[in-house]
Amino acid sequence: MKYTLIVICFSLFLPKVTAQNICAFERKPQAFPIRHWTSCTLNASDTNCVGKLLAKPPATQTFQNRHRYRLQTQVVFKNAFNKDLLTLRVQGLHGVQKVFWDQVKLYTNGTLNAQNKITRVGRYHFFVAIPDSLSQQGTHTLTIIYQQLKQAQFSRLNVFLGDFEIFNYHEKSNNRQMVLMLTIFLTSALFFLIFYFGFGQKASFLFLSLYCIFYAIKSTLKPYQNFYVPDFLIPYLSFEYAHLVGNIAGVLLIAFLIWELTPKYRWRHLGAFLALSIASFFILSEARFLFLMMFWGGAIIAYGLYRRAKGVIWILVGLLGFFIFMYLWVNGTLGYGYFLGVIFFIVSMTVSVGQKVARQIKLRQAAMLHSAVLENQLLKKSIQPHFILNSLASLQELIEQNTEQASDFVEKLADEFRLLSQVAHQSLILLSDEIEMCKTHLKIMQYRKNACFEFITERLSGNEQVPPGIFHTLVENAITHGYGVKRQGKFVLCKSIEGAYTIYSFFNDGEVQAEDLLSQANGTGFKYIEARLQESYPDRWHLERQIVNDGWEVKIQIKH
Amino acid sequence: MIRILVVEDEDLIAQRVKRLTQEILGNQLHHLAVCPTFESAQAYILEHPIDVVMLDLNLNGKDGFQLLEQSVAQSFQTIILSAYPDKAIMAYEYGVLDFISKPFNKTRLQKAFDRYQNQDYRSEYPVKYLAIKKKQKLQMIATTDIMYIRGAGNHAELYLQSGQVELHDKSLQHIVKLLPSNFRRVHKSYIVNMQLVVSIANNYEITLQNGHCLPISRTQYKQLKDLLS
Repeated sequence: MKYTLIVICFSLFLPKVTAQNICAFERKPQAFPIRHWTSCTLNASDTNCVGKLLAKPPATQTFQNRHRYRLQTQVVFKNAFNKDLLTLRVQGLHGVQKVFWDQVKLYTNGTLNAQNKITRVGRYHFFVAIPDSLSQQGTHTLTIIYQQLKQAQFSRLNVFLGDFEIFNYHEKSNNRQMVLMLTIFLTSALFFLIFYFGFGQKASFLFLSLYCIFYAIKSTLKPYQNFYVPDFLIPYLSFEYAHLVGNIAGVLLIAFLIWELTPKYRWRHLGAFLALSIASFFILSEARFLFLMMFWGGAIIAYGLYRRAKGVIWILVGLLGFFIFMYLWVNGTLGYGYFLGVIFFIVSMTVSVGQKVARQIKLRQAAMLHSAVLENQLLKKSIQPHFILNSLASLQELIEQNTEQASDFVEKLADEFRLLSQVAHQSLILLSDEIEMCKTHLKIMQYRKNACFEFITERLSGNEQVPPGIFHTLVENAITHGYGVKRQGKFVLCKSIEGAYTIYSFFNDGEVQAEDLLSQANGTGFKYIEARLQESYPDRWHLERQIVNDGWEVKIQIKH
Repeated sequence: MIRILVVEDEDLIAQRVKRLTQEILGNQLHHLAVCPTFESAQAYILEHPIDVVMLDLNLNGKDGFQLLEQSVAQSFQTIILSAYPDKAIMAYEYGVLDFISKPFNKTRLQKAFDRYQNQDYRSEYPVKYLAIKKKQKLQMIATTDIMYIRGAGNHAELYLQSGQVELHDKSLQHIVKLLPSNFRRVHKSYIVNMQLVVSIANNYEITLQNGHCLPISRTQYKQLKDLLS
C-alpha cells in the first residue's frame, strides 16, 4: 500500500525525453525552454564524446541507475542575434555538467578529478554565455555531459536559451520570493519559539519551531541558491546537505505530530522514525523520503482523528493543503507550489497552535479561579459565623467562670486560624499539618462540648501530601453530626497502600443515624472534599462513606 | 414560677444559659432542664410541663427550621438562641417570643424574660403564621386569614375567614404578645382582627364583616369606639 502510493506519486517525476531534437528560433530570442533531447548514456570511459555523432539517435530513455549522460540537441537560429547577450540557463541537475556549444566547451559546473570522480558538485542552476561568434544564423548543437551524483534522482532538467536580460529579471523576482519565504519561515520559527518558552515549554512547539528553521536552511540550499554564500559555507555537496536538512526537518515535523496527537510511547515512536529517516538518507531519494514522511504523518493524523485529539482538524487541513500544493508543483502547474505548500502548512499549524494556547490559557484561568474558589471555601467554611459566634459564646462563659481555661481556649482558636491561613492557598500540604489542624479543632470542640476527643493516627509517615482541609472537614462533620449526647469521641486516621492505590480511611465513633448518610453526602463539607480531590487528583480518586460497627468510616482512594 | 427547658448541644453555652437564668429569675425559677438533642427535648416535653423553651437553632447540624416549626406549635413560648442572626426575621414570623444572637450577655437574657413576664409586651416583628398540630404533621395558618381567636382554657380556637375553626396550643395570653398590632384583645376570651370589625354596638358587642358578633369588655369599650370612629 505504502509503496503503491509512492510509486504513483513518482510516476509524475519521470522525465519525458523524446527524440525530437530541433528547436527553431525566430529573430528575437526569448527565454525558450529546450525540452527535446537526443540523449544517450555514456560509459565511464567515454571522456571525449563531444562532437561524436551518434549513428542512431536513441529513443526515449529513462535515467534510472545510470550516472553519466550525454544530452544533445540541435538548435536552429533562423536569424542572427547581434545585439543581446545570448545565454543558456541550466537547472535541475545534481552533479557535474560540462556544457558544449557547437563542440566548443563553454563551461564546467563543478569539478571532476582525473578518474572522473566528482570532487565538487556544481550549482543547481547556472548560466552560460554563448559568445557572439557562435551565435550565428544557422544550426547549432548543444551538448551537456552530465555526471550525476549517485544519490541524486534525476528529476527535471530545464534548459532555457534566451536573452540575459530576461533571465536577470526572473532571477530578481525569484530572489524576492525567496526572501519572502525565508521571512515567513523564520518569523514562524520565532513565533513558535515564543510559544515554547511562554507557555509551559511544550515540546511540540519547539519541534515546530525547529522544523521552520530547518526548512529555512533547506530553502537556501536548494533549489535556487541565489544568495552569495562563501564556498566553505555552501559545501561542495550542497545537494546532500539539502537532503540531510530535509530529512531532519521531516523528523522534526513527525516529532511535532507525535507530541501533538499521540498520548503514549512518544520517544519510542520518534526513535523508530528517526532510524527510518537515517536509513532513508542512504537508501531513498529526498523526494521519496518526503512522501514516506507524509504517509507517516497521515497515519498519525488518522490516529489523532480517531482519538479526537484537539487541534487535529487544522493539522489535517494543513497537511492536505501541503499535499495539494505539492501535487501542483510536481505537475508543473504551480512553480512555487512546494514552498507555498509548506507556508500553507505552517499557517495552519499556527492557527492550530494558537487555538491550543488560547484553550490552555482559558483552562489555566479556570483552574486558578477554581483554586481561588476552593481557598475561599476552606476559609469560609472554617471561619463560618456560627463557628466563631458559638466559640465566642463559650469563651464568654469561660471568661466569667474560668479565666485560665479562657486563655487556653483563645490560644487554641488562634492556632486553628493560623494553620488555616497558612495552608488555604496551597493545593497540597503535608499530612502532618493537616493532622495538627484536626487536633486543634478537636481541642476547641472539647472545651465547647465539655467532652473528651481522641485523635489516633496509624501507619502515617506525616510526609504525605494531601489537599488542605480534607480531614479537617471530616472531623468537623463528625463532631457536628455525631456527638449530640456522647461526650467522648475517638477519631482514627490510617493509611494503607494496595497496589496502585493509597487508601486513607477515617473512622469516628459518632452516633449513627442513617438519615445523616444522605444529607451529609450532599452537604457543603463533602462537596468541598470532592472538589479538592478532583483538583489534585483529576479522576484518580474515589470517596466512600459508610456506617460501620459503632461509627462512621470515610475511605478515600487515590490512584498513583 | 417559670419552668424552663434549654435545648443546646454545647455544654459551655448551656451552662451559661443556666447560670444566667438562675441569676435573673432567682426564686421565680421553678425548674430548669438542659437537653442536648431535639429528640431528648421532645421526650422531656411529653412528660414535663414547661413554660419557656430556649432553643439552639442549629442542633447537631440539623436544619433549624423543622425544630422551630415544632417548637412554636407547642403551648410554651419559644426563645431562640442562635449563631445565625440572619434567621431572626424568619423565626419571629413563625412566632418565637425572642431571638437572642450568640454570644449574649445577662442584660440580653434579662430582656427576653421581661418580654415573657410583661403582659403588655407586643413583638416588634409580629408572627405571620401560627402552627396548628394536625394528626400527622404541622399546618401553618397565616395570621391574615384569622378573623378572631377565642380562648379555651390553655388552648385557643382560631376562627378563620374561610369559616374553619382550628385549635392552637398556646393560651391567649401568650399568643397576643406575638400577633401584629391589628389584633386586639377585646375581651378576656377574645382577640379580634380589627381590620374586619364593621361596627360597635352599645350592648358591648362588635360586629365583624361576616356578621359575627363578639362580646367586648367594658374597659375596652371606649377605646374601641374611638378607634373605629
